[in-house]
Amino acid sequence: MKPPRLRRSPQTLQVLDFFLSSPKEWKHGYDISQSTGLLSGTLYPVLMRMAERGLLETRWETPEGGRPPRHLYRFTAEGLRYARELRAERSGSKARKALLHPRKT
Amino acid sequence: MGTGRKLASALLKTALRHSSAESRCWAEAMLGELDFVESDWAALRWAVGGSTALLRHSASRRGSRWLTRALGPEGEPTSSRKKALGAVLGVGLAGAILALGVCGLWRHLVVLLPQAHWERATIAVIAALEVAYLRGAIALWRHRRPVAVGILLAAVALTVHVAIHTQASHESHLTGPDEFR
Repeated sequence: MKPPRLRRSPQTLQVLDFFLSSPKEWKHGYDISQSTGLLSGTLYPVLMRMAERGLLETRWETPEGGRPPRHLYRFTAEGLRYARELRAERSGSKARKALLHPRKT
Repeated sequence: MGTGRKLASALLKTALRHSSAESRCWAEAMLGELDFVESDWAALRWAVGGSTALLRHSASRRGSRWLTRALGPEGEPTSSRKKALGAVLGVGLAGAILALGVCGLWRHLVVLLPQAHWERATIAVIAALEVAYLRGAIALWRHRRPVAVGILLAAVALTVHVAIHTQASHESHLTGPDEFR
């Protein structure tokens, strides 16, 4: 399978981290925006790219009281693996940086 | 429902109507969230950001479909084709900025400066444009390298063009007008 190529912008990493915090739970767009502090114009392009690359699965939820249906998002197995690998890679590079440039106390 | 929320809803519904088939589901998703946004002002911001994202998404989908059709039966554009298109885009972008700069310059030049200063003013504007090209290319180098290369190519072409023009005009000044009579 073709590996998912996702631009690793700080905003994308923020969204990936947010989904990693509870990977099994379905999330609403507005809740993601509130938790990450990303505005809709930044958040949705990230979600679109993640869904197009098969990292996110989506479904619709019909709320009570005649409100319009809401879109929900969750990691796919591929998305979860990708996010975990990326996190491991990032923490590895942070550790390497810390070793190469130790802070003076 | 407040005015801001009504406006937000109208904006997203308009974006939904004009969205491509692939973007429609995302437009509905943004519209569905609107009822859960707390204030009218936040709803309006949500709608403005969302509509912009939808327009960009729709435009990029339509663009890539057009590109696939234009590139013929081979379908998907290859990496080298994408790079070439990026460079062409960069040249086009630089050309558009140059056209705007020159138009703006001429509008002011004719009114404000005597003819003796026109050449210097043109060179000053072109120098400013070159700086803008350079800054743009540096900013785009990491994520949009082909576009940055296109901008740099345009900058080099413009420099060469100006150098040739300046030299020619300098030579005609030195030889004097009698030579051409």
